[in-house]
Amino acid sequence: MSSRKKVLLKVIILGDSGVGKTSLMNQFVNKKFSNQYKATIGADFLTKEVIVDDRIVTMQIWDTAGQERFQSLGVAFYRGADCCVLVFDVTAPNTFKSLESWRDEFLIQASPRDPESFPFVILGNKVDLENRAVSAKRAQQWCQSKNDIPYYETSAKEAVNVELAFQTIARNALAQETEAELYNDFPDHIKLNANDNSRNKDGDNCAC
Amino acid sequence: MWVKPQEVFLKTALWDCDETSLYFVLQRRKGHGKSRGLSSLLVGTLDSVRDTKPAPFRILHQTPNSEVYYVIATALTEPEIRQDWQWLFENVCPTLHSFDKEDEVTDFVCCKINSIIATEQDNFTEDEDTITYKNVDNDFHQRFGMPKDEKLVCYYSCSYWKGKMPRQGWMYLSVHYMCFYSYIFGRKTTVKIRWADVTELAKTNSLLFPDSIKIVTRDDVHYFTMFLKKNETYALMQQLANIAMKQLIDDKSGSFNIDKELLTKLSKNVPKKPSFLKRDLDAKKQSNLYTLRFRLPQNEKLDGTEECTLWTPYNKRHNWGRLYLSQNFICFDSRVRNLVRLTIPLRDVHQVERADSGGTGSSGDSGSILVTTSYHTSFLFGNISDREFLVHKISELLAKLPKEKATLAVARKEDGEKGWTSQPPLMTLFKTNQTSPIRQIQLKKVKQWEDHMSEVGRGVSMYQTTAGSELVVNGIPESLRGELWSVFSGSILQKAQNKGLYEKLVNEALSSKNPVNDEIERDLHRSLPEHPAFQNDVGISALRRVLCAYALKNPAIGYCQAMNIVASVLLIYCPEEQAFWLLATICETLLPDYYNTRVVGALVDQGVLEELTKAHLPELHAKLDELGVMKMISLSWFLTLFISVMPYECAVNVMDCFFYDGAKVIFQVTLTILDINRDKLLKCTEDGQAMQILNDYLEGIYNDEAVALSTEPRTADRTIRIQDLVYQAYRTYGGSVTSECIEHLGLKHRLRVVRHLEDSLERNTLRALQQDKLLDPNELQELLSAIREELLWAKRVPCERLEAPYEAYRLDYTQFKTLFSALSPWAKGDYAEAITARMFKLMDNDDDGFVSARGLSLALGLSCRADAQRRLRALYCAHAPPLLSHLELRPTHFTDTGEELATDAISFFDRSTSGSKVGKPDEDTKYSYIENPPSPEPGSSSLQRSISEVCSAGNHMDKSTDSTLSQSGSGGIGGDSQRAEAVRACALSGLPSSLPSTPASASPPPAAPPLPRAHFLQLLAALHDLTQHEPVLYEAVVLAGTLLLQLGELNQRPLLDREISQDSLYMAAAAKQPHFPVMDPNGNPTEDQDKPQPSPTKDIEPSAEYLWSITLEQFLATMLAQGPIEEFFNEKVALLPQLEALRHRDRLQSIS
Repeated sequence: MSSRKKVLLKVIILGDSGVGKTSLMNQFVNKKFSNQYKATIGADFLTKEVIVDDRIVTMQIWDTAGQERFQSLGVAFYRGADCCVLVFDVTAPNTFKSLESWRDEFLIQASPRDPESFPFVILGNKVDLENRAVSAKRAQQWCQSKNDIPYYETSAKEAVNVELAFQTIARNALAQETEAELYNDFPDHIKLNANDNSRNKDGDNCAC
Repeated sequence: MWVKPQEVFLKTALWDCDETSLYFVLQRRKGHGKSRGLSSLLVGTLDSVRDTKPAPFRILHQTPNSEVYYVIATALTEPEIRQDWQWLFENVCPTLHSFDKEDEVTDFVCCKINSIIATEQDNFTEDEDTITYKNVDNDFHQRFGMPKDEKLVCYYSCSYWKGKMPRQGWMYLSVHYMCFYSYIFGRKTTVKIRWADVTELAKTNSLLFPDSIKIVTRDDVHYFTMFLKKNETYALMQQLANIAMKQLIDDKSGSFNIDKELLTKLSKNVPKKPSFLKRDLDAKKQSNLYTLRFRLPQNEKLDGTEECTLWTPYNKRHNWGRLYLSQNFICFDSRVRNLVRLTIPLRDVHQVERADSGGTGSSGDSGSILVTTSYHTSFLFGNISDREFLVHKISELLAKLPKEKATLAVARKEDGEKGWTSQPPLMTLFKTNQTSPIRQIQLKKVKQWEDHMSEVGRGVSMYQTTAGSELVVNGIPESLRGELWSVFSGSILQKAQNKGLYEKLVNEALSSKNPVNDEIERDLHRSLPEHPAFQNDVGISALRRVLCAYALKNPAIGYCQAMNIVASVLLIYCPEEQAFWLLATICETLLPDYYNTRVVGALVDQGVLEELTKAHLPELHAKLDELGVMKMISLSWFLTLFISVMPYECAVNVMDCFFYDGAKVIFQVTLTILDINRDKLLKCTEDGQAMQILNDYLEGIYNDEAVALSTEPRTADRTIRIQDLVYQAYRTYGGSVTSECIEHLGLKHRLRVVRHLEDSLERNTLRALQQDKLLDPNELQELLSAIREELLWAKRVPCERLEAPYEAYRLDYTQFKTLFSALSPWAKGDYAEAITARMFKLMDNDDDGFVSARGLSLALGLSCRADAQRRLRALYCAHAPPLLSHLELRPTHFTDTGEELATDAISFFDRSTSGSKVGKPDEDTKYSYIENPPSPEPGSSSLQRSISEVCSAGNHMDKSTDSTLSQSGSGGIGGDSQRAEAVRACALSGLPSSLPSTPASASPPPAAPPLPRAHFLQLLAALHDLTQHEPVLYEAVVLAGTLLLQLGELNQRPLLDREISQDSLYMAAAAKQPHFPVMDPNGNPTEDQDKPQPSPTKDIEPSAEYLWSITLEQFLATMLAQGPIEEFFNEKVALLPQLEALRHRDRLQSIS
């Protein structure tokens, strides 16, 4: 396995409507916060290059619609995901409660090769707000109960922990990706070959 | 009876000739009357193959040198046919000799008979359904075991491919089923398919099954061929399948309303169809097309159409086309597509007069009418073939027009201050800074439109012409958008029909607490944040009102993200109320089902788009399919009408066309965008890349004629003028991507989407049910299909809800009973009904009279799979107050047999405890007989009712009486339902998955209340009944029961000492409820005599029974101490055989 290979990581952000998925993505990619986003319909995505352990990695971050009635439609976007980010709003307990169902739904729809070890990251967003309702401890406990999912408390508005969280996301996704390379039958190998090609041509070709 | 002359070739094959003359033959069907034997069987077979029952007598016409025979009369009886024969001889035969040629004879005879039929039909009063149809309907119900209310729509002759052999027979199409029946040489073939199970319906043509209709269900594929009217059959099948699918989507209960008004419909030339329902369906289809074409309210029913011309003053021409008439509108559409279209609301019609020839022009010299509206515009229709009829018809419709309703206005007065004001178009309040070139362009456009409208008129009844379409394609000027959108979309008609409704809805919606409102609130600032109007409370409040009012108006949709985005754009251009009606029109007419709880419509159109791409851009389709991009783009593009993907000022231009031409525009534009980017897309290697290309392209679309809304500098390169894009879309796909074609493809994909949704619902339900770990997965699978079957049979459909997947399957008591009693070992004995009802109550978490799929699976799991302790606990809980309330202990509502048995059991146990006292229990039994004279078993419906009565009445009563037992002292209003919840939780405790309502906390498991004596006796009686069949077991139960009864009395004492004050409370309550017939404490021998109470409270004896108690722990310990009982309740009962039996039962027999 070459260590300097350019890799594309697909990251899916899930969570209830209004927890700040779009804001987190934009804070991470564009380093800015705006309260002028439209509700996401279907899905949207941004890409960013990051360096993880000396490797240049392109993160392709997919932001999805949160409303319940769109939940089952995510399957189109889940395909070939390397990491799944589950977001909840620390001021809204309901959004925390639905994490379980988002996780289940993702595992069923995306059906990763090894559901037990598929990398998830949980983000408790909006910690800048006063009226916090889900304690860090409670969230932490839940994450531990689910195979020790990494948990971060973030604020997309004040850029708290966003960078750190996405670093972890990239690292865990990369680990998953690297592992996947070992398996030829993994459906994603087409994508990997594609990246090989673009690498051969020109490094910047794949800035998608 | 004379029949329309029909050619037949085989004169004698199946018929015996009774009489013969030169031109006529009277025949008798073989096998009828005289002949028997083989020929009879043969003819019987043929009869079943050809039609249900041909009349046994007929008269043929024939000429000596011709091979061709004509049937001219048929009859069921010999005298009838003789009468016709006689008539022929007397009236027709003499004339026939005067003809020279045989052809002439035949022509004359046919003509004569036809005219007789015609005259007879005039006198014939039109019945709802013809006689033959009624016979067939009868056959249909018998052959397929259909419930009485299943309506046959039509039947067709066809062949069914069973294996490699086609079977000739009849296809019956009814509202819920497609059936096929054939009977050939004693071999019967039947097929019965429910429309709701159909997953694919197609016309195919393969070598194996030439020219056939293919029907695919989950389990099977069927081919039907050799239709006489294949297209008609197929169209009807499509329509029925569609109705079934729409029901699955909407859960509008399966009732199908026949439109009786059709009978009175005056239009002529309605071809006679075998079934009234068929006509009704045809009419519905017509009306549907009509309302879609003219954007009329959906409940509009087409009355009739007429070929005629419309005089268009702007070009001084008569245009041929068709005039459509319905209750509220006169419409016209030109024969040349898009030439001219017109809608006149009858409400506006001031006068209808016959315009006489002369001045109006040469071609319109006959049959012209002039329609004048109250706005002093007139419309001239010419060349009407039957003018009098039309004028008569219009005036009739005018007379029937409902008077303007004033009720809503009254309601408004009562409200007084409403606290909000309806906003004008927000763009008038929040002006964008137009640069002068843009202002010039806008002014120029306004001028163009003003000129255009001065020619074609303004408002609803404007002539919609080709010139108008061109103007629309170029983009409507901002100041006219609101008005024209409302006119084109037809929402202006909705608004006019529902005066005051918006205001009412807003007032109601804003004053009510609704979870939907919270969802809306969250998205208000995420709708069109870039527009100044929505950076301000004025715009936000208006948006809130529109969305909340709509959610209230249409709960099936409620609020779906994307509606906020669309609505905010509407509010920019339209006054608030108009925006509301535009939104309603989009959600209900233009994009039906798009925004419902499963966004079915959008998913269907996703499939349609894929299909269209495949047809028009096959190479690209293959690529995008491989990348999985198709599914990604369509949702956001379609649901937000491009607003969320294109710059706002461009997307509104697409909306101009969308309102003018309907949903097809979205497809056309989408295909064009894909086409333009084809080369780039073909080079993509992964989905993100393709999405990026499309996103960049969409963001780069620009519109020089309007102000860009986004304040941020444009990052994307300019790609195409929106006007060019729209123009190209029309030019390339205008002809091929039509509404009809989309509608047609829609059905196919609706079948697919609905199946997919059902499958995923089923999958999710199974997954959820498996967590209870009681039943095996394959048992659950079978159970779920049994539930589905039961629901569909009851004409209900699983209706997905947001709480949990299994909540979609809601069983009422009848359905629960059917399944539970067929499957559970607890529902076998004499006591079955009572136990079933109690289990139902136990599982009915919210006391609404419905149990979810999980409830049933738990009830079954607990009764046949759980360990003895849990099984007994479940039984105990089912008999615990408040679930089993005092009211239920009164046997009047329940089965008398069960109650008698209970009394038997009671007397038995009493005997065993009291030893020698035999006389008393007998008295007791007698007493109960007197109180409850044996009455016929109450029907399930009354039982159902009694359950709900019990829910309400029982609760209120228990509150006072049982508070002594609960000892919690809470006794609040919600105390009772809390206790019920606790009992239910107790029954289910020990399951791996806790109830959704109870958070996974470390609180101790909920405890069931102790059982009062009466409840306990019921429980014992139930146990007694369950164990009756095995003596050893029975003895064990008797023993345990005896012990428990004694234990209960021991329990009684400390309570008596303690709770005197609460007893007096009970006394007061008991005085209000004087009748507890069976369990009246005074009639209870054990209490009074055998065991004199040593306690000082003996004087308040009546309450003693309620203090007698057995706790769950005591009950379990005593019961489980008995080996046979533990063994019996540990026995794992297999469910699959029962499920199998259930599947193969004969429904009609099981009902009767």
